[in-house]
Amino acid sequence: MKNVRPPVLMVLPLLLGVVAASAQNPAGGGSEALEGRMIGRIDFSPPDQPLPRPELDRLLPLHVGSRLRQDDVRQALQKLFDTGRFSDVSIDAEPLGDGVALRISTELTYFVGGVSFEGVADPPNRNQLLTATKLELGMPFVESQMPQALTNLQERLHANGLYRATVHYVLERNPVTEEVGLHFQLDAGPRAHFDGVHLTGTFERLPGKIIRATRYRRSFGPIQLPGWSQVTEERLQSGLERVRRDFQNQDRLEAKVTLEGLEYHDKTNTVTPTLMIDNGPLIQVSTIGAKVSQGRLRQLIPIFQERAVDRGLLLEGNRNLVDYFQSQGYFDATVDFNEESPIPGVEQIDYQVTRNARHRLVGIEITGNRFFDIDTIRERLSVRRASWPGFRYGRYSRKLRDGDRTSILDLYRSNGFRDVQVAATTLDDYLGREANLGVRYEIEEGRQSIVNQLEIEGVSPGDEAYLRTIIRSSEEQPFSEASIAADRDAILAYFFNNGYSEASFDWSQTSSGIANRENLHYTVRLGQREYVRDLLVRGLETTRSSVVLSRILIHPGDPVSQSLIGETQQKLYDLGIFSKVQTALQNPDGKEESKYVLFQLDEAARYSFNIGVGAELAKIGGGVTTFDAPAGATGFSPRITAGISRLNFRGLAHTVSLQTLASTVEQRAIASYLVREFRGHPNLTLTISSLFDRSKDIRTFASQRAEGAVQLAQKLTRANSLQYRFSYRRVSIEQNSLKISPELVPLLSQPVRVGLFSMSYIQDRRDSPTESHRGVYNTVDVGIALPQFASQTDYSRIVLRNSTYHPLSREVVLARTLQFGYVQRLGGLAEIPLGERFFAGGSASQRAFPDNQAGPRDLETGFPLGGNSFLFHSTELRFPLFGENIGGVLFHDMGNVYSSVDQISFRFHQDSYQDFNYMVQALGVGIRYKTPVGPVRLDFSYSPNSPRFVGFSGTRDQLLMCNPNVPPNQNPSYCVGVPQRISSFQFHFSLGQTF
Amino acid sequence: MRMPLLIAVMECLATLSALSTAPFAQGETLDRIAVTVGRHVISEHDILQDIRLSTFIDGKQPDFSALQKRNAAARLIDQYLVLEDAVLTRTPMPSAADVAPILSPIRARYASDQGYRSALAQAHISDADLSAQLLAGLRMLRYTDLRFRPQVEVSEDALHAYHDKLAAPQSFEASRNDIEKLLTDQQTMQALDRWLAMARGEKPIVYHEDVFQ
Repeated sequence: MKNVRPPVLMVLPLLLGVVAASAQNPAGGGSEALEGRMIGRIDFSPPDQPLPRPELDRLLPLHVGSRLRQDDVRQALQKLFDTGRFSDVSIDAEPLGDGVALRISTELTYFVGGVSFEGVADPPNRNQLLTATKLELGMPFVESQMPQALTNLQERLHANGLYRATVHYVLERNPVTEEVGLHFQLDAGPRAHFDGVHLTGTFERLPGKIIRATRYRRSFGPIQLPGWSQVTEERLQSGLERVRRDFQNQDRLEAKVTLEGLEYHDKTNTVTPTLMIDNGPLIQVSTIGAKVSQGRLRQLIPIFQERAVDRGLLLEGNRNLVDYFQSQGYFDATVDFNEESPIPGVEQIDYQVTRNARHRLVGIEITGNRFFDIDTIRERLSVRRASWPGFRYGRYSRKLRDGDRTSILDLYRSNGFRDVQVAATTLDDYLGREANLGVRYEIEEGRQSIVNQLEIEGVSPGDEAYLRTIIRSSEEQPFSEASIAADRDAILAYFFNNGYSEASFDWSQTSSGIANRENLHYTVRLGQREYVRDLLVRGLETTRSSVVLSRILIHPGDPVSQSLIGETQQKLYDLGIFSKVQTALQNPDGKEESKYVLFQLDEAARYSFNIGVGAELAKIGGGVTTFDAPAGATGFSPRITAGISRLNFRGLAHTVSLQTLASTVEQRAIASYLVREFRGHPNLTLTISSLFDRSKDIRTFASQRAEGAVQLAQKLTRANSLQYRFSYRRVSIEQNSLKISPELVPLLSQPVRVGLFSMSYIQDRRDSPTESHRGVYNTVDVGIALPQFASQTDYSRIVLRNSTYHPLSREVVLARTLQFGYVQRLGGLAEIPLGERFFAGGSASQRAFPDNQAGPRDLETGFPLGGNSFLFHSTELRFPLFGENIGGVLFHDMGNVYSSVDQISFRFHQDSYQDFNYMVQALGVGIRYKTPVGPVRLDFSYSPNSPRFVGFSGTRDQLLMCNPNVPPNQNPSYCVGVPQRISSFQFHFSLGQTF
Repeated sequence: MRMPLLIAVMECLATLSALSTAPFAQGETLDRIAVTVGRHVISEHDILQDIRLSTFIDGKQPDFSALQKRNAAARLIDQYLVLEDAVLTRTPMPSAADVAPILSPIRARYASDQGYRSALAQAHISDADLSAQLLAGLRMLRYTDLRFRPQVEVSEDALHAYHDKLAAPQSFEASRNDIEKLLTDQQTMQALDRWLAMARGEKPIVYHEDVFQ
């Protein structure tokens, strides 16, 4: 019998095996027979998985040596799928001795790694095509998306008249990074033309006029040309919009113009759009009781913008009208409206306006404030007292007053005054005068709540120490929900930028037991931290990868930081060589420890061109060969500028450019080579340039300048920068243009080569460079020209500027600037040549003078000779004049160009016609009109002591006949000088503030 | 004679066993992804288990046909969408203790506890699985009641129309409450269906067809 037992024992497990095998049958309950067996091995199929094996081991609940449980198998499927890296997972088992071997089979998910287009016929442009595909960088990709993507692309192409376009695509899979590159190849074919417009619906307008409004016909401005335009989506839509506007201008505010269809004719490749038009009723809007222009009504009554008439919009128009009249000083104005249809097809809307008496807001009272001073509260008010000339009646409406009340409440509440009360009252007959109005804000502050104790839970001690330095609601600080909201944003931003994309924040408050002292508890849940697995930079064609990689601020192994990714994107855009920089995390929703960071770059066109035309109107006129008007006559100089730039030269992100300017007073060409972030230093910019310039901007002479320069600019801090520069130039004076005494010609106007090394320091602490209200702007420029630099004339020069801006009130600014320059001859030529002297005066330095007319003048001809030193000081009071966009300026300029630094004088009076070393004064007014590129400026100045001088009224040949060394009566009569004076009144027109 | 016979029988059994365990050598699928709803996985095991549990509750024999697998998958998708929304909207949900009243009639079908457990074992499910299934069903019902029933308003006209359509011998007033409840239930379920259709549209749902062959 003993011999028999082993086979029985052998059979039992085998019988169990039968049961186990039957567990594969769904009815049998799956893997029950394997449940509880020891896991002896876990293999992956394929063996190379996108996640590192240690990460998989951490992730999975199945481990070698542990018992197999069905729940763990189920959980493993979920965990692996959660990573987003797998599109399918199955887990198989096979016996391994007494245990079990597991095989985890996976199929990879692929992600959109970049979408490129070839054969684009703009429009639609690349971005429009990319949007149409709905394929987002880094998102999971399945090939079943492609039919829809192709359909969407075809729709976009058809909408732009490309009916014969064909689209093919190529997929490029990279199993290592699980990227799919999608390359669309477009053959756009010829673009269709319109061949007519079909109109349907109800409208009372001639079809010809409607079709003309679409501008689907070819035209040049208002002139119609034969034939029809090409079809583009933009043209199609703007045509519809123009027809709508056309009806609106006819008071058909509710006109509906829709594109009902586009009929394509394959034979002719043309399109006939069908426009469905319902012109709706005639809607007439008017005011009774007060005159309001139609233009103003269109701004105030939203039915014009919304192109619909309903009670809500009419009521909003009602409120806007009240606000409008209140802003005009009619603070008691009432408005009501009436809507009727006097005849079919016509709707009449009348706004009945009762303006009542006009008031001026003369007083704003703020009472009860202890914690904040009056100025702090006033800064937040929108109402303002009457002031001339900008706000003759002040600015007031009930809406503004109530808005100010809310602002004051918010100010207090955000500082812990949770029980604050503010009452806003309008005071009629303020201070006993009937037309006067006052506004009173009465504040009851209540007690301030303070944070007694702050606990932060869920963060490491190191993080907590840092967080306590950035949060507002720390101990003994005001307790307010606004501060807590700011803390939440700051805390979450900190963790988001340190790889915790799932971080969440919660807070609670408990009483400390002490009145008005609250305990705060912040709870942070960090979630899983994500790291950068690697960087995937795609889309580079000519750009060297090192150019991009050196600018990427995030690296493999770093925590994922959206702010660093955003900064990198900005840096790449700053290079100016990419038209689009897309950044994304691959598999953004997947739960994995590390992720690829994608940079999809579209290189910009390599060449860019610019052309511009303009004109200069200033005192730049006067005879070219004659000696009249040494102080300049009003002249007009048209100018044209043109340039070409080659971006991303040799794939290094360097720029080579040629800019040219041609006008009647100047011709200039500058070729430059620009290297941003020189040698990888983000703060260094190298510029190598060469210049040829021929100018007559100084009335005395025309000069030719050929110059080569190398400049290295270094940004020290946000406000401070340095420039190091070496320039070598040859300046020659055109002899026949000279308008100086012949004796001075050899001294001042020989061609000269100058080698100059110079440095500039710039400190800019202004709040805005174009419209400064506060701050300081300082520059120091020093240079030296030496024979060691192959200079024929040796000198040193320094130019200083100090400007400060002081806000006197919210909109009134006192600005001042001091400019000083000094050039000292060191050797070489006997005099500083004309081209190296200081010429100044004009809109940017001293407004008593036309441009470049300040300083010493030739005693014989009266033309300016320039000087070796200058000193200018300007003071401006800048204030609002009319509304928000027009401002005014009162200014005082003083200063002059001096023959030498020791001749600088503050003397008011000019001693003689030969004396130019005194201080010229100018008073004036100016107007500024705000534009997005800075204010347009018009200045009028009056100078009580503008220079007098003696000029010469004759020709160059006559001048040569005059001998200054003989008595005047022995010279011809034309040699007698003509006393002249620079006009006491000057005007200057330019762009930007004076300083 | 007996001994060689016994050995022969055992060898035969061993051969059979070896044949039946042949799939082990090739690897048996323990579980695999059947459907994904967004990032949520419904596995093949979930589907089979749902079939087992629902047929057990209904007192029927399980049917593991492709059609039934699809039906079970659809149920599990709906269940996931509803329970996910219930969590998001913090809808109060029944607890495990609420299962007992509906579990007891199922248990009562069996003469003894042993019979009940034997039936469970035969169906390859556990008491805990059954309770969990019932709890999930209860939660679906509670969610539907709280979320959609308050939105349902049965008009008087609808009640009359239904009564007229029934042509019931009872007067309208006598059957009013029953009709109202019936129509309310119908419209509640319709509201749920509409919501589920919308919720299904908002999440990518991928069927892994191999599982449903």
